[in-house]
Amino acid sequence: MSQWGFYFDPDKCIGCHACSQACTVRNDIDEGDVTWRRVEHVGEGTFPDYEEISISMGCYHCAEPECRDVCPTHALEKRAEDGIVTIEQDRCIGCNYCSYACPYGAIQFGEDGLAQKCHGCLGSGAGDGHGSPPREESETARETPACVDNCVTGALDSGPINELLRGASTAAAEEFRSDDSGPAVVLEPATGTEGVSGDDG
Amino acid sequence: MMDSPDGLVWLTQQEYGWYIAAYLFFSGLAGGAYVTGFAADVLRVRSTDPAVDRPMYSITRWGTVLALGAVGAGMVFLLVFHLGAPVRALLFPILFVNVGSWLVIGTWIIVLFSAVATLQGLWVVWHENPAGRAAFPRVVTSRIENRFDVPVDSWLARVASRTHPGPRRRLLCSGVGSALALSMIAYTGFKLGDVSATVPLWDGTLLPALFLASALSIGLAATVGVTVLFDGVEGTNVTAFSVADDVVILGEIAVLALFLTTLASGGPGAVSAFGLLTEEYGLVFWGGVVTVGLALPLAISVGLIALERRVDVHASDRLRRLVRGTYTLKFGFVVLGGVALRYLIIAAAYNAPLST
Repeated sequence: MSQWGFYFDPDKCIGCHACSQACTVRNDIDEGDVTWRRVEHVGEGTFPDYEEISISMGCYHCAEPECRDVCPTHALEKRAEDGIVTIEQDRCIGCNYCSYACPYGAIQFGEDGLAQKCHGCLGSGAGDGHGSPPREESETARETPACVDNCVTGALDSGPINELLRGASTAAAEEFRSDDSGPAVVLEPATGTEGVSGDDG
Repeated sequence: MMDSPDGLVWLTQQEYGWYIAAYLFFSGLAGGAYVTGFAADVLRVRSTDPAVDRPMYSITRWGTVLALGAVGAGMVFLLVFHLGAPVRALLFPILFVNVGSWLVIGTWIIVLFSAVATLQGLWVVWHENPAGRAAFPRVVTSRIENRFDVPVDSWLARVASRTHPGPRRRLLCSGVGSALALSMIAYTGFKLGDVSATVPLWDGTLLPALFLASALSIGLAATVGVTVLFDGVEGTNVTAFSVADDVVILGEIAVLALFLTTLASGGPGAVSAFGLLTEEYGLVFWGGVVTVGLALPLAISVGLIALERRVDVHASDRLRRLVRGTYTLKFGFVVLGGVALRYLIIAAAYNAPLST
């Protein structure tokens, strides 16, 4: 299996929320607080030594997803084809246990009370993607997820993890390889550089 | 704390609402009440004093009836208020395939407990002609039978009579039910504790112990409390049960102290949970859990024991009423403390922050 995942560089992120908006539109999410992808603004220190970075967060399609492990019905599946974690909503009982198991707050519940989250744009709505062919063969999948497509600074990328690692810094690659059960995201270390640096580090 | 710029990603609070706190409370109450009823059953069988028989059996009936009522109430909160697809959840024998999930383990424990408790309820209420107000379900079925000419009472009595396995086997069956009751209480703690990596408040070791102590305490308090309230204190061994509750409360205080110490000395998420419990929700915690649920019942108990040592509380109606009312008040406080504890365990459950 070639794990599909995300790449994120906080130094490039300007916190514009284009990724989360694109995700919301693409997946027709209009249910109040439900956001599959969101941007967290994280501050540190006090004025004048204050720094803030923005982090685009969603489901990271973990290698060993806790959400899948606690789900009573196996509604959550780690796909063998591409490592994307999908939800079979027809099996979900809406117990919310998975949302507490996920450290990233990725799993959310809409008005129908069923679990929904990012499926890497395998489809275009809650529960889509389950049972679909591998990402590169799927006719319903976008070539790149809407969040990546709409990122104006290149802070966010996606694809097979090996390809993402090739384009990442040594530090980010080493950090990713240090945890083989964790999230499928190659995360560049934040250096505190404000705004877009244009430097891949 | 989570509002200060500390370089950590604090996620927004999650989905469990007050109805899950209610579910946790009622399942704990059900387990504790059933175990109390079983303890009274054992005391009755082992006692050679015939005066003990009726009040102990009354406690057993109250314990069983309360357990069934509470487990039913818990299911209402879970199925009606909480689950997104409750009808689908009723297909659990087919759909619940992840046997390693605490939710699946817990479901089967609840189902088995409910089955055993229902049988016990049938036997202790509809077998023979039980006396005492704990047999009120029998009064209800008798009235239905008389008023609407539906032979529900006769039918239940016949089923109870045909299935009754005899006193010893019934007690053995009740022992199995008690083991299931204890498992049901513990499972709620283990279920939450299984995700303690995400929610530091739900300590995987201490939360089950805290739930166990609290559930036994509130179950005993509720069962003996309603017995005292409706059937009086005579022959109920209320003092012994009250002291037993005090011992459980002391154990709960020890676990709670360890729980708080662990939180206060943990990572940022645990420290934040400690702050939420003791400061933001300080009124409910110090006022509800500690003062009403733990300290006041112990203080009342000390006062009652001192009174019972000095005077014969059965000497006058006035004294008897005073003691009955005070015990009821004490047990009521214990139950209220249990409600406050479950509310806080859900309300203060925030995610551990992520580092950047």
